[in-house]
Amino acid sequence: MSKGGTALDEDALRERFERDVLPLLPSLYGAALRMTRNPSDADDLVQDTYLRAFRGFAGFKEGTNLKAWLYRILTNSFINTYRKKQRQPQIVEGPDDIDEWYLFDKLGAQNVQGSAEDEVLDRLPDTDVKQALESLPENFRIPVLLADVEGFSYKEIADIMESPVGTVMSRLHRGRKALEKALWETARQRGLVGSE
Amino acid sequence: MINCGPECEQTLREIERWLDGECDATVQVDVQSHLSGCNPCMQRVEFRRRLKVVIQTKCAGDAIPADLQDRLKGLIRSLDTAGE
Repeated sequence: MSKGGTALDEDALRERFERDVLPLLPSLYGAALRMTRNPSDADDLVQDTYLRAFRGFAGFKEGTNLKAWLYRILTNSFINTYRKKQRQPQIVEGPDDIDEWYLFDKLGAQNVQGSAEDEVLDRLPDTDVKQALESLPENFRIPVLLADVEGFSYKEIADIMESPVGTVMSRLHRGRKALEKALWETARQRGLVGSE
Repeated sequence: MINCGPECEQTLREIERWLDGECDATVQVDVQSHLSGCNPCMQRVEFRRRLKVVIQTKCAGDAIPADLQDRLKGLIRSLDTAGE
């Protein structure tokens, strides 16, 4: 029993935790999959996040941004534990030589009869798009995941990643360009577009 | 960068932030008014908007394994809120 807490407080806190956190588990698991890139590590990461969140929950201010708070714990756990475990080199260098409108221009140059640029994107299988995202170096993948999949604002991402907003914006921008390139390669391998 | 004038360049520079809903009100109005009269820019913006939707819809929606969800539910029932 925690100091000064009553059994009643404990129960209320536990109840509130279950009520508020359990509904967010599916999206946390999805993010964990994109981060770790395999179901077994994603499972461990979510469990770890859940336990850490429970232990810290008494200090969480009700009515503030619970989802961002959980993603911060998730991101922290991933960076501190799973990245080390996975022994991935932390790639800081990003792709810088990708044109601003890379994918739009590439698809536009295809000049597919009666087909808009973005129809090719719709035809890409989900697994390909997931793999394209997962192919990005981690410091670009996480901001893109948080912004484009989870819908967090720049400020929220900065809090989650414990980075300045300017750094987040620059990584997000470069990450998105790298993702455009990865999507183009995927579409090419799928035969959805011609070679060049 | 693009065929047209400085206004297009200015608009396209802001597009990423604009689509993210991160522009201040003045910029938002400028972008909106440029787009309403410039089809080439509008096409690019529409492409980026669709791209965001494609990424969002295709990268989400993994089902959480039922056994993980059950395990986590049971887990905290046995724990004290202050930790071990």
